Amino acid sequence: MRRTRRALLRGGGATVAAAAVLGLVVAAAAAVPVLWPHDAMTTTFGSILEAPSLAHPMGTDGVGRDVLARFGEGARISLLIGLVAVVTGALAGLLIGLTSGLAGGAVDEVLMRVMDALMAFPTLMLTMAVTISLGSGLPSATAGVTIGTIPWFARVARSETLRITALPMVEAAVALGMGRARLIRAHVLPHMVSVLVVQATATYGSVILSVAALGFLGLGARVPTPEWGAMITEGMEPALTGAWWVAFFPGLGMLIVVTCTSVLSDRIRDVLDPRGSFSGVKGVT
Amino acid sequence: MMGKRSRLGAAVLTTVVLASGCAGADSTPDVRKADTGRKGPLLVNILGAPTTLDPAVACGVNDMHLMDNLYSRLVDYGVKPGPAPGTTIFDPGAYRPDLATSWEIGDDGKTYTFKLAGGAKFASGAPIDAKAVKYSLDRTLTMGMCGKSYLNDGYDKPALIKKVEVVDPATVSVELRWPDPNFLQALAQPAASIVDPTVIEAHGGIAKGKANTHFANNPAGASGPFVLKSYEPGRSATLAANPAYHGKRPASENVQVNFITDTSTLLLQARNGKADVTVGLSKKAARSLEGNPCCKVAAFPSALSLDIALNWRYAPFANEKLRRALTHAFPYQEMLASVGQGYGEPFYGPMPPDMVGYNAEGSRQRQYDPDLARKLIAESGVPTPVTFELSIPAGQEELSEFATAVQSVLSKVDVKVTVREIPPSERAKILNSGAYEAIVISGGPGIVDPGYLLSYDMSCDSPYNITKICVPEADTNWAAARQTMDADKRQEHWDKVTAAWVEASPKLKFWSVPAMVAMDGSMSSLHYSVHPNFSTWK
Repeated sequence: MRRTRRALLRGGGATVAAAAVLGLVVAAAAAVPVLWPHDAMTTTFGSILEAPSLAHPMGTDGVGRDVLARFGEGARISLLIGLVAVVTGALAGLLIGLTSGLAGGAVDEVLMRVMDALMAFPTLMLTMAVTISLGSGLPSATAGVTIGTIPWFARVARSETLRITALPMVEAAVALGMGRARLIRAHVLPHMVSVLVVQATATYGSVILSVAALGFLGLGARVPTPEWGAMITEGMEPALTGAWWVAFFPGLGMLIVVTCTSVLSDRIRDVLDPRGSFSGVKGVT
Repeated sequence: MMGKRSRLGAAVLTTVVLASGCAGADSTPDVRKADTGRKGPLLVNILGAPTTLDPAVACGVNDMHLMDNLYSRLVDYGVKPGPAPGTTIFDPGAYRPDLATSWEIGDDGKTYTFKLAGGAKFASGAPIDAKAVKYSLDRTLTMGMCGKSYLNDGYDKPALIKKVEVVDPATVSVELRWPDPNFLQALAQPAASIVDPTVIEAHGGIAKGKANTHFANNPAGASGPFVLKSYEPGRSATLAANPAYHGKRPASENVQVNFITDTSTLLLQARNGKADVTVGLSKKAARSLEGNPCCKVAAFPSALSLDIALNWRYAPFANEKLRRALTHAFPYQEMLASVGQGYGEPFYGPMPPDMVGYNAEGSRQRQYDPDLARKLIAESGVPTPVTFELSIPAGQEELSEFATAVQSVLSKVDVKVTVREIPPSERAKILNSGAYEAIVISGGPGIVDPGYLLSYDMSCDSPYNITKICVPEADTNWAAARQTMDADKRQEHWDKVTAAWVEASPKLKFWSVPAMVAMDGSMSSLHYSVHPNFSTWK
């Protein structure tokens, strides 16, 4: 474990910088809502669209709310939704992939065709369709993006299951009478974890972008929830009237999170798979 | 799923685009401006697009964008000075001749007789005579679409108009079932447009209770100051002066109208000098243009107002004390200065300040008094925290900000509001079915008259009364005012309506909402009307 951590940090300045900056965003998400004196929801009619200053480092929005407070609250929402969607999607995908890979035959065919059908839609269209059918709001948006991630995890889990169960040592273990449950616990899952971790880190950034896109389109967070995509929508017109800060900071937050997770997922792939056998994993080039 | 590079690209693009002022939002055609001396057409950018060119079918405010330019009516609204030099504004309390040179109202108030201008012609060359007028009005009544409601001044069953008769080729009379002092205003509506019978008959004629789809995207002839040279539904229209027009030739020979659905694009185009006139700017956008060399900004008073309709079917809002409490919970002046950008006039009454019948003394804005609000809530017996869902139209940033402010203000008096955004396609369904608790409405009546407005906003028995407000004393006086021909006596009824309505605190009223127009610095003349008419714009 310690060796892996050291190997991750050996990746150079970019990895360290990405980890540090992402750490700062996580710290902001944790600390701002608790420590910052301004509330993300409180309107102050006397101070609308104030430019960044010491009192309001990220300025105020169209109804006088502190943008930093909303940025921090928005970071918490985006990071948490990303985590929930990726973990849920990974678990569901793992279950489907394992079942498909181990059962084979008709079960494999049916499950994979369903996954193919889901993958046939552009991800944003699929998440929008799910969100609209469930009714707009953050829970629906989370469900939408989660469903969008499942096929990718399922595909990876299935191919890994097939690869691992074909290994000579696994075949030997099965020949010696190892049960299916123990086979999964002892061989399949341990060999699959690293590739799923790479898949998850690669997916995390796009999930955050998808949630923001839904928020931007008015299908995500409800007024006045400070989700980053919704904040960008709120800041569109102020940006045209010179108040650039309302949309800029949530946009910057997304840029930072997506960039950092991409750099880190790259490095994680390099460390866990130095020979490049994960090249089929979505998002890894 | 996006690849890694795509994700990075998307994120970078998001930030760069936002930081650069969303330049990508501007997608409407840049017809000129090669020369500011306006040798090209007058360029008008207007918020929203018409769904039809048929005056008998037109319903909403966007449908009216071209109507007064293509068609004449018997009468038009009066004119009064506008808020900026070179501007005038329509006067809903006065009328001027359009196709009718004069008119007489029978002693019983039920017969209106109009004398037509001799020699008027459609663009096709066909005469605009009494037969064409009768044909046009009968067509609107027969088709039974929105136009029928406007033409009948909101009276539905039975209809107000009994019959339209040709007295002689230059005289037409309209007989009503009961007196209506507001009938001339109904005739000033696009619904009363005079269409060309030869064009209508050449394209399927009139079908009872049915719209003729040909005229959704094609004009029903032209009796107005312009003819339609080209039309791209939802996008743009090109107008040219109608050589056969009976009135004064338009100040600008050619007009290019761009229909723009996004307020950000509207602002961007105005700021970049891509329009001579921009109609429908948000208040924030208008404020940002003040002092900008690109434009002169004018706020035209209108009969629109910003309200929160409280659905009386939702139990807490049937409680008069709770409703009254809420009216005292808002710092109106602060909210108007910030959320409303200072545009508008606060009031509390059944009709807005720029409407006939308005009683300024009786419609003074409720006083901001949060302590009184809390006391009244406690006295109301409604369990606290009082909760309700506030619906707003999706995608309207101004209203979203307003709802956020309402949420924040009411939280201070122990009222918890959740905001629900409803898509435009569902709004009418939700309103008509009553499936809401409270809803933000920024709008006003199609006919600028309290009789018409309160027919759907207050009348106890009306099926169009969306909030189920019922104030019996106001209702009785409303019905009486609608049929009182004497102006002074009618005003007495309106004053009683105002007093009873205010006493009942039936809804939350914030301020009147002016129409924001930005004009290129070179514009010297503009008449603003609730139904835009470009003929004086230059």
